Amino acid sequence: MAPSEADYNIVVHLDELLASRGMTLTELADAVDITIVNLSILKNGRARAIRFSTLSALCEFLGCQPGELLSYRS
Amino acid sequence: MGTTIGFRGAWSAWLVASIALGLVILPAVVWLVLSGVQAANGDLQVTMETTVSVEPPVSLPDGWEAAGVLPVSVTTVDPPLSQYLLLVGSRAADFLLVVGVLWLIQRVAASIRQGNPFHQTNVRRLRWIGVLLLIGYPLAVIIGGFFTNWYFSNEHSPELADGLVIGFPIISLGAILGGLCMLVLAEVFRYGIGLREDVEATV
Repeated sequence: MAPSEADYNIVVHLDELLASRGMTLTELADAVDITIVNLSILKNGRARAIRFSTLSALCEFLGCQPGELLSYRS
Repeated sequence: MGTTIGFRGAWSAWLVASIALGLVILPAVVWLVLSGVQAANGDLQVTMETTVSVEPPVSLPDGWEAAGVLPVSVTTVDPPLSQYLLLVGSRAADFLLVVGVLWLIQRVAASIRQGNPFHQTNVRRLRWIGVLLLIGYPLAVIIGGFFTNWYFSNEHSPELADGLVIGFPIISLGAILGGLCMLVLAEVFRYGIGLREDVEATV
């Protein structure tokens, strides 16, 4: 069973970050060497876990902190 | 998710299971065809294995008893169709059990070879193998013994009915242990499904 946002209270703000920087998911995938499938999983809240290497690559390219990319929803 | 870890082992397992399946099915088909041709020509010989209880010719002290079972092969030349069908019936249950288990093993091995073993279909296949070994094996022995007993019953072979003891080795430790191992392995695969989903959903 695929996880949903309801399974975890972690929200991924990838859409907002990409929109504010005028980037597409494809451009991000090419830049950080993460498949677009995985980025789509992350963007749509279907990810169960994120590797530190992935988080680090995203934050480095987007110029943000992990707290801007991820947030906890109580 | 595909992986090359253990790929060669998966190929070997699939190959061995496939060859075993062929080695079981092909002789059975050949035997059926050949026996059919022989029956048409009137020179079919049917051999059934059974046992005869005997008293060993030994001198024993008072209060001692000795008994034995002698395996015998009973050959019938040009049997009627009914006896031929009883012979087929006595072996069909064993044959179907072996083919069923080997086919399921071959399918599991094929999925491992394709790099995707952890899915619900394999869990069901392994559970079925366990059930076939735990329950199907005794059933096959009982069904085979029933047909064998019927074959040698008064109706078909009255002169052989007396003194023949049909063995029923229903309990097989190998089948029980194998069946239990398969049921446990099915739960391992079910756990593996969860691990696979975790890995696939990890970015």
